[in-house]
Amino acid sequence: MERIRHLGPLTGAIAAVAAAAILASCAPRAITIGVPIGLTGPASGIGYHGRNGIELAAAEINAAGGIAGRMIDLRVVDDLESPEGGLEAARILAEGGATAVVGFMSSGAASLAIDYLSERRLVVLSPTASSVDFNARDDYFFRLIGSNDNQGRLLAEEAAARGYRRAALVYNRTNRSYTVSVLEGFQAEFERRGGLTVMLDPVAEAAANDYAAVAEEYAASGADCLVVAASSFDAGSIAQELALRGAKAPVFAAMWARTPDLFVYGGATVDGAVLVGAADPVAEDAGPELSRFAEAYRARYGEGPLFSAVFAYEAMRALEAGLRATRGAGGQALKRALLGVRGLPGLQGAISFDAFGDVIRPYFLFEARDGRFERLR
Amino acid sequence: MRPPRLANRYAFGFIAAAILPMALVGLVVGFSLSAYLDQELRGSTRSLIESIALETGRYFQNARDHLLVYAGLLDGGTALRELAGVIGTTQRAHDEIRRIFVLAPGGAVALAAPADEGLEGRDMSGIRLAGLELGGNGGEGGFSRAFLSPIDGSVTVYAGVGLRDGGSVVMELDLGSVSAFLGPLRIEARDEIALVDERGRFIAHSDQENVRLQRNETAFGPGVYGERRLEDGRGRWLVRAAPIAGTPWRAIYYKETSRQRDIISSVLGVAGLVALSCVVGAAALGLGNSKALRGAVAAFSAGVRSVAEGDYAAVIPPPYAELSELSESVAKMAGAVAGREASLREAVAEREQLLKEIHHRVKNNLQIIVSLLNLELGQHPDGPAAAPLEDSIRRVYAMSLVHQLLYANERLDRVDVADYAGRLVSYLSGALGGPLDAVDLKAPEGTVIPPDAAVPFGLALSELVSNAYKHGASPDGTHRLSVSISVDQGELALAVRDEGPGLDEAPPEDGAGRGLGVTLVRALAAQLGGSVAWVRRKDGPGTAASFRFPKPA
Repeated sequence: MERIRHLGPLTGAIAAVAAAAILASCAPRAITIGVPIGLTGPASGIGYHGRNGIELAAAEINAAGGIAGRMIDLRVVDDLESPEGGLEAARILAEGGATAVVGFMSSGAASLAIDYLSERRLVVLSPTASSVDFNARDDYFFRLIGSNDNQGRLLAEEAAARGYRRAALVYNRTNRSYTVSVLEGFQAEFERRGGLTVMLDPVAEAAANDYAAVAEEYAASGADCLVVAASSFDAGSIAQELALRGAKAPVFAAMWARTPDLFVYGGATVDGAVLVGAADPVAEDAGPELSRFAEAYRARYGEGPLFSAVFAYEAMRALEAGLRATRGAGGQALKRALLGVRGLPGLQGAISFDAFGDVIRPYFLFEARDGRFERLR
Repeated sequence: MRPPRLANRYAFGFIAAAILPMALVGLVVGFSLSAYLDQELRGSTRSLIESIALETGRYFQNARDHLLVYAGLLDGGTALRELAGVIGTTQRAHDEIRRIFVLAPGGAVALAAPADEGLEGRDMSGIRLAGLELGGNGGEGGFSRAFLSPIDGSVTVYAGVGLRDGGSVVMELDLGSVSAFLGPLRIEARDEIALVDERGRFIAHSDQENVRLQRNETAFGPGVYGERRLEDGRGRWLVRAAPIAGTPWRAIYYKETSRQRDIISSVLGVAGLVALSCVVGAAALGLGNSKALRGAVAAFSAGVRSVAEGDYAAVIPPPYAELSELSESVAKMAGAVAGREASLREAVAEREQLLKEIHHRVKNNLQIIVSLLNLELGQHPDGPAAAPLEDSIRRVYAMSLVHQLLYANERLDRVDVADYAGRLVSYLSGALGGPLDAVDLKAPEGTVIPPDAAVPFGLALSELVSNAYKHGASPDGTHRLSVSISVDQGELALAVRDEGPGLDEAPPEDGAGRGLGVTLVRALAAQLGGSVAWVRRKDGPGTAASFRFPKPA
């Protein structure tokens, strides 16, 4: 009996280890955030930077202790930048138990997924899906970028101001939800200013894409400028084809094409192109918050952030504000909390959502020059 | 029943002490083994990734060697058309070379292999090659960053070398073949091998999906080499990055170490458990031993102590065999001491009897002296010697009373003060010239003094009471005395108070004017190292005599 009593300390040590293991297993459950992002295809550069922005925000939130003690767990799914891919990604995330979704960098990928997710009361914050199709709808969809017809209007103002009167329009048909609304905005504004527009055949990202046909069609259209609502690959390739034919046209391009890859695909042929963009995170006049973000991004990813990273980071931070208000709960409570967001500090200024979950922000114009985008206004 | 052997218990203690170093040795062995396993794991990963980086570096160097040959031919004046055939042959022989371009100064495509008229004239100046500005110095060159093809998701890298005329030769490499080459190099199927560009993006990976989805390497920051441990939802990894010579890229080995870590953890766990068990076991044995030894020794000591205290019949069972002889010796010694003590007691009793007899005889002799003096007094009851004779009789009686008490006592070395004083005052009460009307004697019970102090004390008491009787009669002729004895601050104090007319003044120090009694009392006080004083009572009429001396131990 005495010997058995001497086993007490050993039993105590084993019990302590077991208790520690049980306590560790009782750690607060992580909050799963779904991240549907286009990581393949021509616009994947935007998706890649967008995902990085979300990752960076989540890492900062987790490093600061998470939300109500719960860590953020990101589940990234490739939405293939297509409506079907987006819907499949939404299905995977909804069935995987995501609390909310931050992603869908393109309007096309979001187009079918929004209704699916809204039916399941899953809040979606899209950094850059800017199609007018999502305007003024009372659903679970929020976005951090303004409506994209404003992109077209801004380009039309600039083209008209430069004296162009006949614009040829080309768009990428795989993301038509976005691209067509840009061109509609352009058309409305350009024609209001007395200009004429000619619609060329659309393009699609594919090896067989005949950008030469676009160049030839443009040459035959009699237009004095070309408006491109397409990816940087599309825009760069069209510019190459125009240059090869000695028909270097003044190019006006939507925000989608405003990535450094434009210079890879277009080389010097894209010099002089006018593009729409949001606040430039690597510009010298970037605000302190934006500069801090750009620095943290560069330290983590070895390169400067693209605009999509800025919007994606802000989307994750806005979601964080909502989740803090609901202590990690999603659904209707999160929707109400987000609709109540007013003046949340963002990288490009304060963030507020209107009654439909849309945010309105100014766009800026840039000109491609020597491998860089220089701010016009 | 035979007692256990102390040596066996000692041996148990020794074992307990030996277990502790064994536990330490167990721990050291456990840690060493796990460190060795860990070192082996790290070593194998390091050597593997370094050889992969070396091989990959050679691959890219090989591409550049080809380019340098073309550049040398072109700079040497070889015509573009003549070179086209050579380039085409090279391109066809290497799957990883998708295209080779000769670019004119400014970056436009002058020649493409395989031939593609659609590419000629295309502006490739947007592709920046590290270490080479297109249109820059001849002979220099480098690699572009990696591009993910928007068409098929493959990763493309451009390698280029400058020409003297400002143009360049550029090779478009498909890194998909490198990914295919990495897969079979893995030690285990769970491991991963990757090449990352300077930004930390995967440009080749044993799992091509990581490249297709443009994932980033997460164990290190951009451009960082070395070794890391990483844990994610898929397992625990030992990650090692090595630079690929001639490029800004890195090769990284991801060793999935869950199984190895489990083995190491098990080794450490077992070592820890063994060590813990050893420590606990040693502590239990040691404590048990210590407790048993202390208990046995305490019981044995208590037995010996009771013998030492005189319980010679006490039985002291030996707790251990080794102490049996000691136990027997103590018992023998106890027997011997008991025998000797009995003899001594007998001798002492005999001597005490003798001493009592002497005291009896002394007392009888003193009684005879008293009788003789009484006879003498009877012859001359009113003679001038009557008073001195009475005083002498009283004094001799006081002395004889001490011897009477001693021979009647059990102890021959002490006299009970209260008993002695009581008997003496009682005697005096009858022996003085007339009866005492009241004597109030107060003496503390149990106070004893040795015989050599009892005699002067008794004489002083006799003198003071006689004196008080003689000179302290009340105005009504009665004799009321109070005799009190107390022990105060180590002194025995005798106070005799009368109710007589009181002293006009204290007797002089030399005793003159008070006769022999006062002189005698002073002498007795001096003999005992004490003092005597007479004062007029403050609480009434009469005199108070105080006789004090240090109480002998």
